[in-house]
Amino acid sequence: MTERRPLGFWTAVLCGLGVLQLAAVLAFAATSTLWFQAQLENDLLWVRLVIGWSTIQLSLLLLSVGILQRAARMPRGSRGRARVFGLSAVSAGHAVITTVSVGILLWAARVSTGHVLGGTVASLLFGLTHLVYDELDLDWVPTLYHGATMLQTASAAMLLSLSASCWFLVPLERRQRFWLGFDVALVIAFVVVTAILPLSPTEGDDASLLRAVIRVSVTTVFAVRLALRLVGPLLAAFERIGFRTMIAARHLRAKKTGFLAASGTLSVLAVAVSSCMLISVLSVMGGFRADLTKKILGNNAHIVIDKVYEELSDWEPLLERTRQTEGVIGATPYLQVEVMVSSLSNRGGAILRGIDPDTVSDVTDLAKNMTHGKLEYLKDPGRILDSSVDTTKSGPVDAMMEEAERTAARGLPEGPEEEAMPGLIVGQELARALRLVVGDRVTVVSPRGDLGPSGPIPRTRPFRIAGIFYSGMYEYDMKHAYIDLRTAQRFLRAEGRISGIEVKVDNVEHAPAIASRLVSKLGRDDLRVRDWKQMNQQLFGALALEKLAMFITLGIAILIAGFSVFGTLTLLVQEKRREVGILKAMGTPARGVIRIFIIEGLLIGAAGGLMGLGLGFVLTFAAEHFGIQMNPEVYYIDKLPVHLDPTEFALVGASTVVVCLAATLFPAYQASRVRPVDALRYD
Amino acid sequence: MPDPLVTLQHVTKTFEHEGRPLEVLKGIDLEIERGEMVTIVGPSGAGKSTLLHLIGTLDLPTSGRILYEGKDVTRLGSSDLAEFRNRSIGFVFQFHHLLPEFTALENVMMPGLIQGSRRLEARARRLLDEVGLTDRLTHRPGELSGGEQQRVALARALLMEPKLVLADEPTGNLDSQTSASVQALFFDLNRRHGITFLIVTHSRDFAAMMPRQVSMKDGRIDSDERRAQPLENQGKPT
Repeated sequence: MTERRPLGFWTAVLCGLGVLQLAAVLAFAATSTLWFQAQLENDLLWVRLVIGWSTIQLSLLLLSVGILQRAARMPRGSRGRARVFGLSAVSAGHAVITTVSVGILLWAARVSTGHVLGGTVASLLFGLTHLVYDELDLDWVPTLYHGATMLQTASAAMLLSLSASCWFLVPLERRQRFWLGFDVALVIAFVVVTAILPLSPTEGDDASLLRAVIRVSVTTVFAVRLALRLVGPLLAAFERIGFRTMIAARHLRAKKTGFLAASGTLSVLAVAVSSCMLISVLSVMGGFRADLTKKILGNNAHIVIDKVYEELSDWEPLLERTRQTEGVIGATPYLQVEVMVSSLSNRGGAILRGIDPDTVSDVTDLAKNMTHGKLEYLKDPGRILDSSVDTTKSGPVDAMMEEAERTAARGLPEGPEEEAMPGLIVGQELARALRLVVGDRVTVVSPRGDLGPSGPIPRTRPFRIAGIFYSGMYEYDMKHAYIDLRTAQRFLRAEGRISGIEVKVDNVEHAPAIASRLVSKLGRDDLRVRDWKQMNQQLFGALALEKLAMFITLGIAILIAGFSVFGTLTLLVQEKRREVGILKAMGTPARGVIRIFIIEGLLIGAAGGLMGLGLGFVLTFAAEHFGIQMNPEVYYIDKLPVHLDPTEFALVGASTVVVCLAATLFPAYQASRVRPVDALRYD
Repeated sequence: MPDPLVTLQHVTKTFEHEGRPLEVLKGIDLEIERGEMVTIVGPSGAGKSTLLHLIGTLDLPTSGRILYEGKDVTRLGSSDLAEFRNRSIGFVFQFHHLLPEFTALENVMMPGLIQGSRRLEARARRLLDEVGLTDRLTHRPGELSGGEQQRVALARALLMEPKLVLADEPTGNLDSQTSASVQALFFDLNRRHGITFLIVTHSRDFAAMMPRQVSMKDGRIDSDERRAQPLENQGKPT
């Protein structure tokens, strides 16, 4: 084997097979999909599978043995001998392992009734496939297959990495030709994809999700290739800026000794990974905050007007004046007290709010959040039991619930006194805890009782569940219950009085300004006007603190990446000692040397930072648009919320640059201290 | 009479070696006139290279003064010194010391680039032409032979039109034929541009060709001989 043609044709074929093998293992992992399972009923497919697979494996085995023989005859020390040798040996081993494991698998799947092959990618990777064989009464199959699968994955990965390493045996000009072709194809793909595919998927459409994923993937690969293509020209342009940038850029472009090259690559990667991590985490935390803000604003008023110690009487003129204030788009009265709600099976505490069903929708999203029943039933409780009116429609589970509602409604005695029973709306979690469906009876116990012979007696009153809402905030869904304002006033003995007025404004960010405008317009010192930020100060304060803590913690990761930059630069200074000596002998002042190395460090930092921010952007963009499913039972959120904030990107970028700058200072100073006499004397 | 180009007055240099002072130069007095070609010869350890470094302001003397045209350079600050070195002194070292990442042309232009001047490209090309490397402009040092590298180093030393070119065994690791052509180049440049050269060498032949020969021994100047026009007879390469 000569230097010029180090890679034989068959070795290239073997490399191709190596790539194919990993693809096959991954594809195999997907064979447990429903579609494939359905195909398995066909007996002919089984025969084809077995014959096809064993043919591929046998030819791989033959090929690798053949190449192994050729590699053994290659002269010792020739380039790539070890690689070709390793490649063929691993592929031979892989062929044997795969044949055995797939044989077992096919047989087991054939005799079992469940028709389960590879399992999902995750189960394959974590070696969990054996679990599905528990149904088979053969103890040794899972163990054997488990081991074989692990071996198979490991050897496929090795095969792939060896194949990839053989890539560097291909002559340079051929590699360049390949990349040229690849890039041309990529540009065409990018243009096509940008023209015809959507960026954001439409909700609940798998095909459009796939299209969007394809578009984002192609765009990402395009951006990566573009960046790689631009590195050379950018550094060349950078060189032209001036003497110091020229030296710095040349140092970075120059071939370095192995250790320094590895250290340089690692420090770029360290900066990239840490900044990517930081920006991703910040984006997710920002997402949680945005999600929380949205839910808080949806369930609460933007501004609440109340009194500190007592309830408001004569509130109608206040309400009118509030509504006329500039910036206010809705206002509604409420009466609030803590009560206990008991159903037949359970009881729980709740915050009972008397609301005005006509105007509450001007202020909160309660009407939109109703999953069962309707807000209007509060005004007209007689309609609750008339199930034909219920038009709230959703999925199969809800249909079941509705069925249960009807049964429950039918089971209740229909008496004249039932007509008068007022409606109550509870949150989904409270409904679950008390096992309530629409139409059920509950008893509400109020602390404002009558005075009895032995002290105060709590007042109780039966209500009928008029609806169930889901706000997305556990606290609300567990603790809040709504009734009609007039009913509440009567029940709580607060005729004509309310707890306060809830206000919605046109722009939530202007809420504090509008609040102060309300204070002057209403002109009453006894009133307390609070905006949503004040009311949730502690919550948002905690969130901000958490975010700051996260920024600092992950900022330490960047700091550690900074150490890596520091190490690389120290090595670089060591390696370039002689050249620094020459530059100084030719009259470069010490501060010029310092600047050269600072620029080098900053270039490393900028490369890493840009990579990290780019990767972080792709990750967060994908998470925001495609959605990462979360278990709502655990997190009370169904999708991982992500919020991209350009300020945060700038902040992370700036901190990366600052850290890298700090990391360059000492090595640069060291470089400036090199004495030309010492550097030039010994060689 | 104007001041000589370089004047050394009672220059001494002491190094610390394992805690003990080691006196390398024990009081040197030397004057070098403009346009002179001076060689320093002497056995290893006589302090030739140290003297050259001191004259080149790469190092400072322990005592004594070094005057360039009557101006004491030992009192300059480090950045003034760097500037002075850049403009007034050219160096040619034994191991040519080119920057490996840069082409021959860029290496020659480097002293000008340090000053932030980009207009010296034409001059750099002319100098490379003069040292006979017209077709090696874009080669990197690794792609040049030893003699070619030394010629690049010489061109680089001349770029800023220095008053003085210092050479430390410029032909030390070249074969005899290449040495001869590089030596001829020195004489040629001296004759045509009147550049002052101070050359440390071990080569007897080279030293014998020089019009002034300072021989050093044990940190002192042993002898300082001037010969009348030896150049005419011996300067031409064979």
